[in-house]
Amino acid sequence: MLTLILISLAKVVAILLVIILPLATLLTWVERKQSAVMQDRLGANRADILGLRVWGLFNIIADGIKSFSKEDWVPPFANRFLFNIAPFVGLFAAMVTFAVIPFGPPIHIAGQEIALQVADLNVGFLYILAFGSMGVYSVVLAGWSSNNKYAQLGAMRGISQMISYEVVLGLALVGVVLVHGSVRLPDIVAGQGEHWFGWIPKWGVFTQPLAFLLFLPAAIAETKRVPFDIPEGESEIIGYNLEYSGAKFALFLLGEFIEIVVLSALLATLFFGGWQVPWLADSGFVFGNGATVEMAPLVVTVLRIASFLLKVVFFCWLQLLIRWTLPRFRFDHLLRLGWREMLPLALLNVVVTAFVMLS
Amino acid sequence: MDFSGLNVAALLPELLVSGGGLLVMALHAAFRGRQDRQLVWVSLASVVAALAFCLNPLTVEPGYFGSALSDPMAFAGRITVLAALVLLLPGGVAYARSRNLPQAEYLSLSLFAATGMMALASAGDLIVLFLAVEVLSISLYCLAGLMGERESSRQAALTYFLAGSFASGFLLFGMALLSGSAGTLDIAALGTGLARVSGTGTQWVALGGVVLMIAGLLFKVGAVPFHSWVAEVYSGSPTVVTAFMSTAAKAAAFAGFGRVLLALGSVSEAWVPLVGICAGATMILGNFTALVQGNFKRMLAFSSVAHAGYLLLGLMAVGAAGESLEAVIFYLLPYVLANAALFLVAAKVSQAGSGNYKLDDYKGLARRNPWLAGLLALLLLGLAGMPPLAGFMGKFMVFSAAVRAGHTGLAVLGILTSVVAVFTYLRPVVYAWFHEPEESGALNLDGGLAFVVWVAGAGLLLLGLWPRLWLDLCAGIGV
Amino acid sequence: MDIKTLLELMFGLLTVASAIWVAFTPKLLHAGFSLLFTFFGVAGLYVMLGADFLAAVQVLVYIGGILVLLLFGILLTTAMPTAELTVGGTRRGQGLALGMLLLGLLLLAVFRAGWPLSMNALPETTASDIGKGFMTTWLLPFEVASILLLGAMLGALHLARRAGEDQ
Repeated sequence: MLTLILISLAKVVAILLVIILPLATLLTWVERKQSAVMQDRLGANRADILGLRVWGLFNIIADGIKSFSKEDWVPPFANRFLFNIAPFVGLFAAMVTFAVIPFGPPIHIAGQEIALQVADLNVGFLYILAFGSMGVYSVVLAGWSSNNKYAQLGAMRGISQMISYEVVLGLALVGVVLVHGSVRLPDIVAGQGEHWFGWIPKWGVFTQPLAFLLFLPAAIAETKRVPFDIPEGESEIIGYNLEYSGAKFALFLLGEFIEIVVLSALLATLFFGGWQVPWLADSGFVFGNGATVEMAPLVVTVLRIASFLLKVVFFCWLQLLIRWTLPRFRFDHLLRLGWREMLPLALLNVVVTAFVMLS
Repeated sequence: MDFSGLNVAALLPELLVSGGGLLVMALHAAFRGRQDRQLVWVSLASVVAALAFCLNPLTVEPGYFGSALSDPMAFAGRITVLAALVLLLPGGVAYARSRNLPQAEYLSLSLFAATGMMALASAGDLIVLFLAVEVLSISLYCLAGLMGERESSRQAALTYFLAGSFASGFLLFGMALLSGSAGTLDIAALGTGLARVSGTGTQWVALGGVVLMIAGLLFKVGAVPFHSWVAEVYSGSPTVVTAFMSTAAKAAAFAGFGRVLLALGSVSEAWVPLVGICAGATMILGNFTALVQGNFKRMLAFSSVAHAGYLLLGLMAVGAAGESLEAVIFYLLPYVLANAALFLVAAKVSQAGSGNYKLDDYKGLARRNPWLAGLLALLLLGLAGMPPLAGFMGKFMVFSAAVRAGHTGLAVLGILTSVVAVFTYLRPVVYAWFHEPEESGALNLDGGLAFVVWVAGAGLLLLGLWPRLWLDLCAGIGV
Repeated sequence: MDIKTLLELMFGLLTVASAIWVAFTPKLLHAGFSLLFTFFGVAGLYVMLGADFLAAVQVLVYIGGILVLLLFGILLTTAMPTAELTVGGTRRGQGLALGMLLLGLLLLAVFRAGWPLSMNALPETTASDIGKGFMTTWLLPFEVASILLLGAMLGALHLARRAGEDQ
């Protein structure tokens, strides 16, 4: 019992300190740098320590100090308790989703099999949807507790956007679940380790292309970033986090970046084989023409974990690329896209997949 | 997975009716509402097809793994509901069309409600029973609000919704306790399940569940002491919807109620006094309140409360003494026919008169339209239970079943209150035949209404003269 | 006391305390937010009872769906977020009596009843059994429920439409 708890704790700490927090903080800088490059600017490159600049990486620290030293303002007549917990709710909902994502194959230490996953739930898929849907409370609480009409209007836009796209999100995932016949994420990852004709990996993006195309925009809509940033609209219209300043505002931003990381991990797990490397079996590479490359188990494990991390980083980059490329949707376009275009497609995908799986 | 117990054909009538509802919605969307006038034919076609399959079922085995039964009771309930639908749908559509209300939604919600009612009449387990009750209730809440143009209709919808949700809560809580202690959800197996736990602490939990469930069902059928919503909802809702509520919905609710009480026969000593008191109070209160109403619609509302009392008496006899449900099955059909026609007539007469269902509107009706006045008398006397009309046979069967089951006192009370009812029902008849008209000019019925009134009148006469016709029909279909 | 009992107690307390708050706070929106914790506590109890699928669905449907829509509805309605509810009122006695009666029944069920259906071991996974149940024994309830939702949706859409508003 004690060992189990210790192992789980170790996993939580490892995921937090190795994957989520470093990536999320790094992303604050990457976002500024990448946008600068895309817009032909130099970008965040000024912060230095004793003249040492390292491409502006110290901006992360500068940002942190800046936001934590600002005044922590709570508007008068605001509901203080709800106002204070709102950013944490968002952070919590984003972070706990990571608990069911397997970030590597099971490893064997001292005769014990340890799954590289915090919680191997039998209902992992539902768990993701359940906690994904809790993110909306951060928006509601922030918008309402601020006692500000504009914040409340922003929250309202946020709710209608998030609940609309949640439906599409869930239905897109149903297709994936149907293909693998399991709601456990390790099963879904294991299923993606197979190949067609020995060459094409059975990744979700190949077995469920439509689901992927629906999932990606719906998930971006859940992170409330451009082109789906109407709830906050930081550039001109104002949103649910209007009254927040200093550290609590930074928490909202951090929550947003964590959502990016979690979303990338989900994309990798559900549609790009998770920790699977194409053609890499437990014993080493096995290619379609029969050629094999033997490898030590440790090397295989490391390769697989690296592959997962690489995929996560790639999707973080992709999301930033999308964010700085597209303009914002108009609100009626956004809702129409969700309900009248994506939802029927998602339903169609479920029906077609079900028929294909049955035949 | 083993699908051998599926037997979809057992549910064909329900599937046809709900499919008709879906088709109506789809056609409404496909033609963007331009062909709504034709939708009533689609609905009627699905209802008639369902009726045909009820009269000549493909299978009499239970379907859906025992969730849908095919006994005489199930067929009687389904046929009664479908008959009410055939009588009411054309009138409802005409009403909606004349007031520019949505026809497609009226039709599909009515068909969904009917699906719920039919599922309720043939429910084999408690979950289906509850869900069916909810389907019919929610569709009716929506219909009550949807079809109204006045404030009172919204008010009625809200009252109905609040009262109904409260009742659903009791029903569900009771079901949970009952099925938990009996260890089964199968209605027919409840009795044996309860017998197994008798004498233990579980028995008390089960009895608590039974009481709560009966309370919820009494609420749904509008019996005393849970009758207070009936008058407001029935008189506030648009008449076509009220007619649907007081006929088909009530018939289905009694079918479900009867099924539950039949299964609980082994613990009848626990609920018979309870239901008996409610039945007696319902008969007295319903009849005496109906007597003093000056509003025809309210009078019909309270008369339907009173009829709930007689039906409860029939159910008691069933549960207690192993009587069959024949009396209740028989009682329902003439009640439904007469009430459906009377509500439509009430709408017509009120529209031509004061517009608010005053009894005075009926003064001199015989001069303006003797046929209508005659049929009105026939329908009202049928409800009152005058021989040789079917209402008499219904009451006769219920009272004699009650006497055989040992509830002589209640049967006598029923007969006495029936005498009061005769006065209630005679008032409009007397107004129609022996008073001078306040307005002159003929009151002509359109084809649809004339059809309904003639069918209902003929049905009452036919069933009164040959009561076995209907009973043998039901007994012949089901197993 | 082992850790499982402790957790069960915690979830139970959370459920009951927040439910009491829902019932007795005069502020509608507070009641709504408090309901969040009630649902969450119930989900936790489901987990402790080995009903993992039910717990996930509880969070997904009640917390992620129904309650969000409830709060959305309250916030959208102009006067509602600040509305003060009358708690208690004239029928306090009747309500109390009824509540006590139901509570007594529940206590009876908890302490005196021996349920005929019980399992010695928790099932390994509940999701697939529930799925199979929905496709076989409980197929009819499943389908009736879908008709129920469709009818409710149809009616709600039309009741919500303002009078005279076009399609």
